[in-house]
Amino acid sequence: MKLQFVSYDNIDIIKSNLKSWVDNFKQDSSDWLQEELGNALFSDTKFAEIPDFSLDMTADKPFLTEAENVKRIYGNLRFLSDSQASDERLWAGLCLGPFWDYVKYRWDINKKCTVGNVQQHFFFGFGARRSLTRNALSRLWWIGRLTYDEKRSDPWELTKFVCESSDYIMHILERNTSNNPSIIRPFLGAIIEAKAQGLPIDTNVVGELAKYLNLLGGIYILDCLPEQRIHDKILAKATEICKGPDKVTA
Amino acid sequence: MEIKYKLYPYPVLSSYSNDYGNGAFDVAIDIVRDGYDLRIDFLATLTCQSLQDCIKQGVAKFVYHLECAQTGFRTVVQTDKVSEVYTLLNKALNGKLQICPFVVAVDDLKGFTSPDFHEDYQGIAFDIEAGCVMAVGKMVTVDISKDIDDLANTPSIFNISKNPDESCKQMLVDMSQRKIIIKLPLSDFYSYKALSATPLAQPILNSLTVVPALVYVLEELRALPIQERSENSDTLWYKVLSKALLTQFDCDIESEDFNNQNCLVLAQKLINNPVTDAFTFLTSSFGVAGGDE
Repeated sequence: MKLQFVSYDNIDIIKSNLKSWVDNFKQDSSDWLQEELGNALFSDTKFAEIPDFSLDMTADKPFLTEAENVKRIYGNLRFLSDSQASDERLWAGLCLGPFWDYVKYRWDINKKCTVGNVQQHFFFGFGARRSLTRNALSRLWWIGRLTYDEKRSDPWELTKFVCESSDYIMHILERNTSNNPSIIRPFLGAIIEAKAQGLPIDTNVVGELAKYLNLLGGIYILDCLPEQRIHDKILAKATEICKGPDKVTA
Repeated sequence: MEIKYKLYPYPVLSSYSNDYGNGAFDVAIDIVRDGYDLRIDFLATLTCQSLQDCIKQGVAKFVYHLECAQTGFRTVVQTDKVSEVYTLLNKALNGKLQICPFVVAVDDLKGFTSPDFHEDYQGIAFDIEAGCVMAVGKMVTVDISKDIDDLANTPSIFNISKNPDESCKQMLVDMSQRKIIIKLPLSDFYSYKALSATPLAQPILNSLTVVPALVYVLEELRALPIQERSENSDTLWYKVLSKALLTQFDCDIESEDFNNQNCLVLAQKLINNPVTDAFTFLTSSFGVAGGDE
């Protein structure tokens, strides 16, 4: 597979014409774009050839493929640096090229073919940080980047957990605190432990815990806290939320 | 992270509050280009004896919080020295880098007090938990401009080829052509070709071939009298190499200064320090753990 990107010049033109071109995103490929632009849509990256791989598109509910596809994208593109992986040109190249069908499948583009959806899932539609978890493919890479933990017996354990709900991804990964592995790993580890203890962890509880972590970030420089302390605080808070403060024991 | 002018439940030394009647905390932050990477020089000035004592005792540290929102880079530099140096790799950054200086408790402090507190707090002792801020400096924001496109395919000045002389079992370098030719024994060349299809293996290949070849070339150049070095200026490799050294490393090949350069270090920097990535890949259990489908 050729790893190619779309130049900023082409991205600018496509985005500025999205209102006129949006229905073309229902087509089976991006060949129409090549004709509209009148020049080559793609340029070669420094990684011209990489081994072929595909994404899972077998589930009726596309979100159910998220964890598996994180493994495939992050597993196959792990050589990208963080700087390369935060570059819109690369992800636009993959979305408009080899993974056109996947983007349409995952975000139901044929039925929800709006300018907003096309912009945020094929390109970057928000600020730099939030776009990373909204673009169809950069989302998969960054979930892997932030949750893959080689020190665990199952390195994908945290990945599988956040991929249980799109709300988890929003609550947890779209916060700046998630950028430091020494914060996000004990945070997720504590929630998984709480769940293993039988606590009824759901999106509301995780949302509350994400807010609590944010609150802790206002009190402490979290990056300086030992991971165990973050883990213990989150586990205690999860217990408090699920059981009520009276039942919590130190 | 941005420094907000917020209130704390205990006195914090800062320029925007009068929690402390005496004392100041300020950090001079110098950003220096180090090849393709950035070196940050921190020089802290802390004029509060109680906080200085905390640092000496190891219960507090100077902490520099570095964050690049676009790439998700976030880390802290912790030190007990007033002067500290930190190197940031270009490949981790894009866009804006925020640097926030603090003094932070790294251990729980029982009954912390200071004669420098504002008079309202005089004689009062505070329990301060590990991770809590004790002094806040001024935030610095740096725009990271990329001189090199780290995505686009830029032509290489190296040409890896097989050595037709089968009796030669070593890697050889020919710097008399348009590009630097690295000649490998036949079997090594085919191994190189096979591995080069794997992007993750690229740092290993660069460490094995390009870095030593570049060390050789730089040392050959250094051994020449200054006026003879420009005799290579018709070649593509010399033009690219001399320009990169001049613009990224403030190093002019055709000057005395080049004679004092450490060619081994310079070669690694020019190739973006591949050795660390090579070792990381070799020691990673990623593939074994089921990374590839």
